Amino acid sequence: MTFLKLLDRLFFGPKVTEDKSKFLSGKDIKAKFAPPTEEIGKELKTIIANLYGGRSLRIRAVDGGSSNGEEIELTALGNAYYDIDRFGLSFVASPRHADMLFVTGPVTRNLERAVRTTYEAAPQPCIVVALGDGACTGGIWKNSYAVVGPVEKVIPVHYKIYGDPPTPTQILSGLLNILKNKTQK
Amino acid sequence: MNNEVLITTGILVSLIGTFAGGIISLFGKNNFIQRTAQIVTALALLLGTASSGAFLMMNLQPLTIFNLGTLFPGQFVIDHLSAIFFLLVNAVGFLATIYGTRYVLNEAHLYNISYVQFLTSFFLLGMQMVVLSTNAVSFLFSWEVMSLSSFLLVIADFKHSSIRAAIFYLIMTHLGAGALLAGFLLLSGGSLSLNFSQIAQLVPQMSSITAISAFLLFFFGFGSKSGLFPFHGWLPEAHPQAPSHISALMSGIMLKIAVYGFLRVILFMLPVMPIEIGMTVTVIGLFSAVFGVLYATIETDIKRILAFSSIENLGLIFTMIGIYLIAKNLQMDLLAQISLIVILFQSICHAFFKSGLFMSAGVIAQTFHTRNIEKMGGMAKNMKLFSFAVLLLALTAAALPPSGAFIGEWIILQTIIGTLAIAPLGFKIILLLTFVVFGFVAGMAVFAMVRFFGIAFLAKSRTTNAHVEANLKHDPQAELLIPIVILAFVVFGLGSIAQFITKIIGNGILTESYQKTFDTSFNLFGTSFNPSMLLVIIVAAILAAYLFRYFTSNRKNERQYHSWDCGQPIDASMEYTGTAFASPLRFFFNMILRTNKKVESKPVLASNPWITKKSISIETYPIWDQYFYEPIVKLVAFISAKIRKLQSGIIQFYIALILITLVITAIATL
Amino acid sequence: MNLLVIFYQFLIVALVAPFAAGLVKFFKARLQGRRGASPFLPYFTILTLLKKQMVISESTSWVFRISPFIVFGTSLFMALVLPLMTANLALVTFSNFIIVAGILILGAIFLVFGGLESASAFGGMGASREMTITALIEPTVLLIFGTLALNSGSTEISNMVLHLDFLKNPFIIPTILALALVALAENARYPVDNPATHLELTMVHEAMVLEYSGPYLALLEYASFLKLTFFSLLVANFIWPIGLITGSITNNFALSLVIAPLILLAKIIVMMFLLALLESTIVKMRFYRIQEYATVAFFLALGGIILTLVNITIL
Repeated sequence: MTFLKLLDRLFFGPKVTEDKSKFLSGKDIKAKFAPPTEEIGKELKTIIANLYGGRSLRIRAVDGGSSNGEEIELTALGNAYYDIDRFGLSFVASPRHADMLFVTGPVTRNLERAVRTTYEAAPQPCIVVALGDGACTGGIWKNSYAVVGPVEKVIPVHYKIYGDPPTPTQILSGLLNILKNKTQK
Repeated sequence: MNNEVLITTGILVSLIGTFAGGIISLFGKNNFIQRTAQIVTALALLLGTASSGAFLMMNLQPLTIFNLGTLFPGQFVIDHLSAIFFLLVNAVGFLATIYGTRYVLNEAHLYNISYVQFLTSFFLLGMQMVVLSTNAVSFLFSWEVMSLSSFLLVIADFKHSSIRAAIFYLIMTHLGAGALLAGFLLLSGGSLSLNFSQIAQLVPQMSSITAISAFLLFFFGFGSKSGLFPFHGWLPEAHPQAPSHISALMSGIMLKIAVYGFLRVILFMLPVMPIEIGMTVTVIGLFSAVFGVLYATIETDIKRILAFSSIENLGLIFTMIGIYLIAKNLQMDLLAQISLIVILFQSICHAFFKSGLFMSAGVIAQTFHTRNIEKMGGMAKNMKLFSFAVLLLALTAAALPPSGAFIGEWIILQTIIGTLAIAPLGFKIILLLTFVVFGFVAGMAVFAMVRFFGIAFLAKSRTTNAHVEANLKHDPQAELLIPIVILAFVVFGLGSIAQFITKIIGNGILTESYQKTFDTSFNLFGTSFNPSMLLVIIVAAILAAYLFRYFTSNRKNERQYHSWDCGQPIDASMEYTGTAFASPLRFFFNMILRTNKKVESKPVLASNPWITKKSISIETYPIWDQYFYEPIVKLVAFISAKIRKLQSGIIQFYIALILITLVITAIATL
Repeated sequence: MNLLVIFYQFLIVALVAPFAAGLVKFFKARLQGRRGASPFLPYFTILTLLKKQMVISESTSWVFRISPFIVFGTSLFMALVLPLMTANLALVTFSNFIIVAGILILGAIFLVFGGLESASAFGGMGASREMTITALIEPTVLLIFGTLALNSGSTEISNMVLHLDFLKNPFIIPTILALALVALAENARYPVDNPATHLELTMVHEAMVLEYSGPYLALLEYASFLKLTFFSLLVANFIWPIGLITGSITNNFALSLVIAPLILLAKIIVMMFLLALLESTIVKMRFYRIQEYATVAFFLALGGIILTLVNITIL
């Protein structure tokens, strides 16, 4: 497109970002998320309180052998409709920079070492979120010979977001549940 | 006893001591004799450093050291210019002597220690006497002593590659010495026994043809010795083959002796040169700098990297000599004086940091048993003091603040900007070209030194055998380490006391009206820059950064783990190599560097041609070899083949030739 | 007294730097049609990073540990010495352009050492690319400031901003353009580098910090924010030097202490908006075309200095 048309699109283009409140009302989204146990939930709250209420959390996505459905939904999180940036969350390239790890997929035997080293490479305190049914319970690959199991068999998990794969709306409402910042209002 | 007698005695004793140290080491290979020789030479050189240092600080008139009367023509006199270079020879020689014995003992199977020590002492003696000579015969005699002993030292390990490099070096140095002899003959009108001061008196009557021809001869003679493009072909071959303390002396000091000789001739024995001569010198210096630094960024032998870096630095020094010549012609006094001071200051800095770098290259080569940078790495982890010293030396070689070399660059760049407005048009263009090329060369030199330090010292070692790993666990031996540390701190700290050093250098050079330029700070063209404050501010800024971290975070909150490897186990072979680090520059400057990359792929299975064994080789065919040295060698071979026809073997033909020669000579004399 | 005003500049710039970096991301997001993170997000990023643990690789050495301090220290030096809110007050000699260029390179090479220390191909590649860009840009930096020195009659940047009149000397326009190109290259922005990429093959600056974590990473990020701030302020001050505190105590001194930071904020907002607009309209170049970029910048700077010399010779 010509330069003037580009400028027109930049300045006067459509604003399509969905409102925050859409991710907060739980019923019609059918999102399912929870910390694995009460104590882990309390530990999660302490971590978030320490990190300034989670106003700036950086996420590293680790693929432990998923069907890539969750990855596509994670990619969609950065687009103009869902816009994860406005909640202070962003994706980074290295686990050294990360405050949160999103692990997707049941951990296959080939990638078990990769998931473990990624967790060890991330500085504490690091919140581990298991994303998708495969990561939370093993999904349809449960008890298969090729997988180790759900993520909690390999590294300690702080939060689980169920779904096959969870839609970006469901992921966002799960995330907003973790964060204790003013965007929840 | 007054100061002059003390200084004269000191210098005389240092000369005798160096000579004695050489003779003592001839008496056998045993440890006691060699150590005695080392101590005698070292003390003599230390005394020489102190004496010449005192001479410079007290700003005395020239002193005669000794005069052999009719036994040997010429006196040996120390004056301001000689004292600077005498100080360099002795100071670096002292540190090299301490380093050298231990270095040679570490490789006793390769070197004959009495051979090396004897020749080192005579090499140093030759350089000391060149600097003190006041007569063409003694100058050339000492020059030969210096050249021959360095030639014999390059062969010291008697390997085929060393002998080849040394023969190339011998040919170039004797061509140069021949040019020097011709130059002196031209200047003195045929009588070599004239003193330099007597030649200086002949200057006003010199015809311009004599002066220009003499200048060109001296330019070739001294220029080829200091590695000016395109006469530098011998330098990257000879310097790596010598033992490391000799490489340090050759690259750090011998190249400076050539600069000293050139300065002695231009300042005292030649009239003011026309502008074209100055422009030629400047342009050749710039070419030298650019080619030197470009090749330094792509070499894989650590000593060749340092040799090319020397070519670059000497190129910059000769550029400043060119600017001095043009300024003298245009009677721009301030520019001429400042450029002369910068030449001397940069020579001092280069002597120190290049010697330090070559000595450290020797330690590195003994740690890894190879000079190939692709096999190194991992030294910084446990060899803390050594890597810190080499970091300081590499920062100085890259001319970064607050080191000494940066201050020299600062002065010359500031001066160029200051005089750009008032210079005449042709000179403006030359100054602009110099400014641009200085900037380019500075950037590339930073690249070369970062690559040198980064690949050789950081991360993990690319060789993994038990012997190398044992070597890497602790700092090198004290005798090898201490000279390097001293040189590192001296040259890095030289930047902070630069104003005092330049004031001492400028004693004989600056005229009254410009005395204020080098005072407690540099007062040049509207700036008043105090280099010591620069170091203070930089250290304060870094300290502020540390305090910020100290007060805002917990220092104990850390954990050790593997490098981030994307989840797959990696080893040292996954690190970036030196070739890879420089590959963007190889790509961008391909027209000059002309590297050939050959990828060979051979199928290994008859049944499946897609499974292949690949090998990659990258070769450089230097541009001067292709366009300068090889055509000349071919021409000389061609002419020799034609002349060989005279050797027909028939004795009557030879008698006929003798008869013809006698007839021609008879006709010529009558 | 002048020294205190310099410190005041230093504090204001250090406080505004994360806001400037956040503002670029904010404007870019708005131009892309989404809401974007708040411009104050980088403050929380730095604070969060300071609280986190550090994970140090076992292949690194003391050079890895001192690099963040030297990189941050050189950025602090720049914030202190350059004419960002004050001009020609104190420490003026240290804003001599040769010293500033040297300190910039000093900061760049310690980041390169940090990248090489990680013993992985990512760090090495980032290091090699960053070093190549720095080496190619170097003559252009010196030419730019040399031209500005010739035009303003002083080699200190602190003085240069006061004596350069864009309208009277229109031939510094190519020089200012070249300065903008150099600023883009030094700050790892489009079209030289993409600061928001996750693909290591496209990284230059980001690849070198992949191994750093916790407080060291906070120092390095803060240093890059500071660099962005002072380069944009420098370009803005060369184009239009308003709102600079010069000279010692006058009647309006107290007022100028309040107004100058506001004008600085305005300059930051304008420059960051222009940067965001630029990043939204052009693409990142392939790395092996960087020599074309460097050549364009060099010839712009060369044109500037030749026009200046012609002007000085003839007039």
